[in-house]
Amino acid sequence: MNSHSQLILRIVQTRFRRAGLDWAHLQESAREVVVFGSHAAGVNRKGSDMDVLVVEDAAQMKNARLEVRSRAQMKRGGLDLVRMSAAEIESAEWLGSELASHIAVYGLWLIGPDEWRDRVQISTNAGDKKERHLLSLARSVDAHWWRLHPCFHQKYRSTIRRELQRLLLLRNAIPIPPTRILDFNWYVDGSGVESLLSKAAGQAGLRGNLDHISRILSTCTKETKNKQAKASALQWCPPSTSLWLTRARELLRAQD
Amino acid sequence: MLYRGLKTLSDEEFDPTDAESVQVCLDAHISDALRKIPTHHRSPLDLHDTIIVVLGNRADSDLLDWAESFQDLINTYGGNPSEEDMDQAAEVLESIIDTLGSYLPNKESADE
Repeated sequence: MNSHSQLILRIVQTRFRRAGLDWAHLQESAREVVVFGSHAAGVNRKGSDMDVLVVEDAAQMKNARLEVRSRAQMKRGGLDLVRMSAAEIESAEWLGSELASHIAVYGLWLIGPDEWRDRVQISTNAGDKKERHLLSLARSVDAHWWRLHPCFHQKYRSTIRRELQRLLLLRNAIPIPPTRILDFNWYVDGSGVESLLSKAAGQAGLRGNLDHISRILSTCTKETKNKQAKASALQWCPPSTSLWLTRARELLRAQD
Repeated sequence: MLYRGLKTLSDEEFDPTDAESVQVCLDAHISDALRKIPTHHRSPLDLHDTIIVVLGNRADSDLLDWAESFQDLINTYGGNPSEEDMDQAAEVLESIIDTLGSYLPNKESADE
């Protein structure tokens, strides 16, 4: 285990303790424990949640429904758990999914072997699912736009822009990087909303369905022109993350 | 206002197959509640924080736990909560509504 993994392991143990969960028990019972997301990629912010995939036997998952209090405690402890059975991990649906492809590239295995990692291949279904998700979200946001407090407008502009970026990556079979890398690329690339929308118009499923998305994103020019946001996006990158960023940039360029 | 909004969310808008639209409807109800109680928040408030804004220190810890869990259940990684998560979210929402109702002196008029 290298020093980055050791550091992550210590943070995971602390967060488990803070969330009232028994790490020692998990070590014995889990088949795999994998950290993914911003912590695994080394691009986390202060206060970022720790995303952890726990693979267990189906028998252990029985009656494993988290009580409300434990869930709230976990959230406060900065822990975001995804629990799956060993059988689910072997399914074609999982191996073709967005999350599996993300974990295969950015995941950090703390327990268990990474046996399924090389078998992951983004499926058409993953892109279709993302497309349905995006269209449903955009329709819903557009319908409620006038009612939403201004503080939610920026949230949904960013969410929809990111979801569109993710969809375009999935359609090109590129694993989704952590959100911070996605944002970094958005600010550095700087080609803006029009360019993103014209790429989206090239997607068969989105053609004719872009009204809601473009209405929401067209109010986004302020975001792209915001020099402060751009500057902070450029400043956050510590040297240790340069490897990840180079990799992410290569992946993102590959879509063009 | 928040109580009525959450009741509408539970009775009319909660679609267990569409977590995103549940989240958007929730944000719309939070927005309605914030319109009545002006705050200086510039970042989006979640249900937990909104309950604190509305009830102040009268908000009990169970209610706050439920609010936090509800958001967590409908916002799992990748925006695809399981059927079981959405069922649990619906149950938690009911508990939130019941508890919020107990804070209202005139619950019947809020129900109308």
